[in-house]
Amino acid sequence: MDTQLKRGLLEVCVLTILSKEDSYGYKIVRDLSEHVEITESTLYPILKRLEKQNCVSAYTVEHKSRLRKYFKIEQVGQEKIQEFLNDWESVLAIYKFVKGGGKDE
Amino acid sequence: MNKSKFMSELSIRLNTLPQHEINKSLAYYSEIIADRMEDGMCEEVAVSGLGDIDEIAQEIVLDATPISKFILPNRPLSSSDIFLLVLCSPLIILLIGIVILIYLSVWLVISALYLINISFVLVGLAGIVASIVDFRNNIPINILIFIVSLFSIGIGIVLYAPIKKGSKKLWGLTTLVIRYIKIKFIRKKD
Repeated sequence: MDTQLKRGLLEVCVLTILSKEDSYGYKIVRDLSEHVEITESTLYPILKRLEKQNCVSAYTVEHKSRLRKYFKIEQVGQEKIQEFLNDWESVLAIYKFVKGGGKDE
Repeated sequence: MNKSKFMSELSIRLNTLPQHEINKSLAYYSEIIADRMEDGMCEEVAVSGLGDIDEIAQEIVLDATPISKFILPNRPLSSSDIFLLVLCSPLIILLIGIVILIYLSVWLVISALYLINISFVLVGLAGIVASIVDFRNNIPINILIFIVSLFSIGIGIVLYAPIKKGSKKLWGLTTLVIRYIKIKFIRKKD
């Protein structure tokens, strides 16, 4: 899959996980890896980008005498998920057209 | 590799970044390794499962470094560097000019789109006010102006979302180009 496309898709996947509950790096990877291929190293720049775009915000919580960074989805992030869903309606229509060899259903 | 060795190796590979960026990256990987160990992995497995340290460092550097740092050398310029720079200065100026022009064009297109959008709304508002003020002098024409003005405001409102989306995509395209250039320079340096 095209790298840029994959990056964009992973961003939305991370936002979707965070739309259910606030989460932290390792848990995000664990929850997502059931559905898509993602590693902690791939997640780091994604979280940084999402934070920079104000899609998510971060806060730290003390956990077993160490700090754990939690991420919370923001309004901009919710909008990004919606934007993705709207965009993919048209992409799916094109996919069906291409898969059908350009024939009308 | 154990955790402390991984952290010090990563820190060395990130030494071109500002200290706060290095600290943020180290804190993230320290937390991840601790979480993996808490999940039952031994230290070695928790570290090795993160992948190749060079690739991890490259991805972090790529994301956190401005494009100029990739192009300009870290060491002071030697006399041969300066000679070559002077020799190539027309070409460099031309290239910088092209980059600035592309950036300006993107901004101009985005600004123009928003200006068109605002114009529709403002013209519409002005038309409504004018038609109300002048209503008694020419009733049919003012009703027409009122309706056209409402349409104009409507077009402005309807166009806002696609213009916002288009502008975002256009801006996203420049980010992609910059990332592509960074990758090219990293490969050249390697």
